[in-house]
Amino acid sequence: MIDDAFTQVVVLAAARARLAPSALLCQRRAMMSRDTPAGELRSIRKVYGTVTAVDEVSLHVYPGEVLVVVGPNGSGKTTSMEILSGLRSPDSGEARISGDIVSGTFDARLRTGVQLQDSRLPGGLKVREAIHAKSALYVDPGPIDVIVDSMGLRSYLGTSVDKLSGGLQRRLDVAVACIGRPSLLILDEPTSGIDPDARGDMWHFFREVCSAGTAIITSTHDLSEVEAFADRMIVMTQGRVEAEGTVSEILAGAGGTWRLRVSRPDEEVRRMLTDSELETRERASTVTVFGEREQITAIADRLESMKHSGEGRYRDLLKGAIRLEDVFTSMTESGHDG
Amino acid sequence: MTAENRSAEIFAPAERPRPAGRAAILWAWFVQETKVLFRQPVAVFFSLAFPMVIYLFIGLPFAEQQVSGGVRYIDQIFPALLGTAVANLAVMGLPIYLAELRARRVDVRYRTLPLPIVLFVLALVLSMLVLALLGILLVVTVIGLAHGLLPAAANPLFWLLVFLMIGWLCSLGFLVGSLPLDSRAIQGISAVLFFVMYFGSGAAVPVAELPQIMQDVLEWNPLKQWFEALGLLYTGQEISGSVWAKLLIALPLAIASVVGGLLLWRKK
Repeated sequence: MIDDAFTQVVVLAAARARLAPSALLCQRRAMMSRDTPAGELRSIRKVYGTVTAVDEVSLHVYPGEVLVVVGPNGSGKTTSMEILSGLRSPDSGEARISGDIVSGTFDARLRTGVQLQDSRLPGGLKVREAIHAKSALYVDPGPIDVIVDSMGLRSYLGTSVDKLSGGLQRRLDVAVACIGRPSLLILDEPTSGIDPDARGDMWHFFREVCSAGTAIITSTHDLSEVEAFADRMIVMTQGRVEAEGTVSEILAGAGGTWRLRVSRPDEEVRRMLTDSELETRERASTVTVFGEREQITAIADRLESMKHSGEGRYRDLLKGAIRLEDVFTSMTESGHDG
Repeated sequence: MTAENRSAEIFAPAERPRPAGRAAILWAWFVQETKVLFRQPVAVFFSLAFPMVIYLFIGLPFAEQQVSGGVRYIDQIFPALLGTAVANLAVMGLPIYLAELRARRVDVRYRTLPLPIVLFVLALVLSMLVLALLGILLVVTVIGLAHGLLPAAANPLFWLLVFLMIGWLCSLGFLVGSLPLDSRAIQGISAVLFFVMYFGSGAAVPVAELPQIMQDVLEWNPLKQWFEALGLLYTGQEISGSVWAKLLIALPLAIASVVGGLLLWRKK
């Protein structure tokens, strides 16, 4: 257990780093128990007919850590998470829970809470009954009341699951996954369809669960959530892991702290950008340049003067501090191209 | 104690998670499945109300008419009324429920839980049995009070056959519910199967007036065979060897249905 003195240090450090204390605590706990991953995929490969859904994917998530998997639709996120859940068997490779427990076995299921993207509860079932049915599987189901309150389900306990909105159904799915004191939570797009306030509450709850030592592997399409809450992230494209690391590490790999996005540049502008010796990534109609603030500002000024003098044309340019979205877009685009 | 430490205490993952006892799991899931089943109006109607509808419109008007050797019409159709309460639930209710579980991917959700599949199937079957028994109880009570029951109603063999019929029909329903088709197709197939079997059993309308070829085909209608055997037993008549033989065929067919259903279920 972390003592109060350590917690105070963490709070101060968090204030300096503008991070939530719990995030640092999670990182601290994650560092303390790196020996045994709570969940792990080792060189997983899965093929459906002629389509390779997952190709040599390896990942691990440690106790007290939030690992977020991002990637475009069809990138292999859900298949990877379903293999870790034991719902799918890999063609090659291994999926393990808590070190050496084969995923999908009874022992693995006992330690894992799973929320699936498109699975519903039986029609006619009430919220209270769905929670009770999961609780009944464990000797110690955990803090049910706290989970129910945290997910905002208290006033819906007597409601049929079919009468819940999509967001409330998702919250119920997450609540049910959290029952049983799991050491690993596998959450496939848990905040999808949930309003921003409830998303914040849900992530706050995840961080509380994580701070207690539970590992969380989750996927999302909302990169701002990744920036705010992920301890580590994995970017997947076309069934492969394109990048892995902390958000800072992923951002640092872009080639600078600022970026300039130029849409629909003509050949002159495009040539000027690629000749700038800065990290440049091209999409069909957009060129993004990464660099330090001064370098990006200088290029933006040069482009504006080119436009005024008629030397070059472009539709629009956008400069600013680099965001995960910029790196993600260029990675996934290059993944698709390749 | 800080908020962080409180969280750590409240949400601490189990180092050695322990599953609840099998009896506790079975009871909790049996109660759940029973509640869900009783909230399905169609299942409740066909198990409780449909046999009464058949009784009111077909049984009651001719109830006291003598059919043969002191046997009244109501005595002749009493076993069929019992079967009506069960057959719809097993042949239509069970497959449609299984298909809906698949359509909603509930089965996938359950596969991520530390829930032994045997316990879930048992809870499902027991919940259906409760509704079926209520339907049977209603028929026995109404017919008993209104017309009186024959002594064979106390014959254990009679009730053993009723329960064997439930088992056979449930295995057939399981096979239909496991077919790799969407829920609408399963609804259609199970409805056709039930109504052909039911109306071809002679329980609601006499089949003796049908063309001979149809009568020959209907001799192999499982529901007709069971209703016939139960009717003979209930009215104190002897069950011939050929009728027993037809009932015995149900045993390998039931096993084949369960095995086939399990194979189809696992394949999915």
